Amino acid sequence: MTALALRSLRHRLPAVAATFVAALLGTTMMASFATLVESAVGAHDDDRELLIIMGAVVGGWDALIVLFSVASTVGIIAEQRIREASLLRTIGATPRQVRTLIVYEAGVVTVLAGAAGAAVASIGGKILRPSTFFAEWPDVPRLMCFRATVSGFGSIHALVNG
Amino acid sequence: MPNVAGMADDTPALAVEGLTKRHGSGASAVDALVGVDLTFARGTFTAIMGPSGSGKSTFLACVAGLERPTSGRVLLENTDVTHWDEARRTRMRRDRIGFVFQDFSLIPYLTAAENVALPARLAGRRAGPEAVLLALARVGLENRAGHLPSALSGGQQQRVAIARALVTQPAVLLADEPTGALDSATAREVLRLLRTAVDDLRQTTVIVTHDPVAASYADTVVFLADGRVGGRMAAPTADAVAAQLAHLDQLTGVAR
Repeated sequence: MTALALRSLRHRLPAVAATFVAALLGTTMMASFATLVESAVGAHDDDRELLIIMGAVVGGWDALIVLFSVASTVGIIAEQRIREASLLRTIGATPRQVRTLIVYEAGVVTVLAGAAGAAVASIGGKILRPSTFFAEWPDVPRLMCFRATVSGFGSIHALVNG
Repeated sequence: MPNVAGMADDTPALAVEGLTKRHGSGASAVDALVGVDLTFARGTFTAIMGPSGSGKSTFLACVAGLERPTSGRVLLENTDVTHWDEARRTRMRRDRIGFVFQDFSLIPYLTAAENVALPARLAGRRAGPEAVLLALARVGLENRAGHLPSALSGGQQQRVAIARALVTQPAVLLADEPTGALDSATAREVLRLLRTAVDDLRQTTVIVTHDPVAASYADTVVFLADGRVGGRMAAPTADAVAAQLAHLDQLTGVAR
């Protein structure tokens, strides 16, 4: 099913690009605010409070928005493929094989977008953060894991409900 | 296999007994099929015809295990498959039934050869390239094996779909309006191909169609009306089938 999923991704590049962009922008926004919270750890007491509030409130809202936007993008794409899914079922694919195909496709896109978004966010965080608060650079690998988890959760949420 | 003895040549490839399907319940219930009894001997070509709403599509869906009949039995090579669970019915569709649809239903991102190999791939086997090429050669498309469906004409796509349906050597090939989306010259090509599979491979074939010309390629035509068998015709001609259909339309028109 892996080879099939990759072929399918290549065939539907516009839809794949839409998902990628949604996840990428979401990651960038969210991880940028996350860096504010992250840098609070090493900041002065007065700054720390501000940084945490800024990062958590804006970043938290952002997390919700990203979750819904990724979920609905993936949901729409899954919807468009109901016909293909029923064809696969008719010629003898098990429900599990069809699910694997779609989850694998969504997984590839969101992990790639999550990784790219985290990279962009390491720059975005720098812009957001006034130089006075400068403490240390965000831990990029940790953020990447966090983001990939959130995007992945969004896709799976969409699949389960769609 | 519980019925090795039943694999003898006189075993019908497919039979339905008292097949009944009711959609919905209570006052809004609709009877799509009412006690249909039909037997399809091996190596025969049957066309099922009838006005819209006569139960043709429901019949195919029940036979293929896509819908469960309300009552009655479906026997595939003498094995009662009516109450099989989803997993067994999936395997049955993959290994024992070939499908051909009006809209060709090929996977757009797979080449002709990969589409033909797909049922084997879904079964976790690797389809032999020779078997795939042979299947494509049988429909005259061995030199189109590497083409995507979008690079093939409608008739060619339908021939790929027929190759995909035949490659597993199914007990029965089910075709739902196989010529519905084709012009009449291409349609005749596809019908001749189905006829050849019946004559040369003894491929039991059941097609559902509106088209009297398509039906005239079959050995027998079964007419459905309001979910019941409303008549049969052996050695059909297009004119005779058209006349019978018109008559059937009148009958059901009066009944409504």
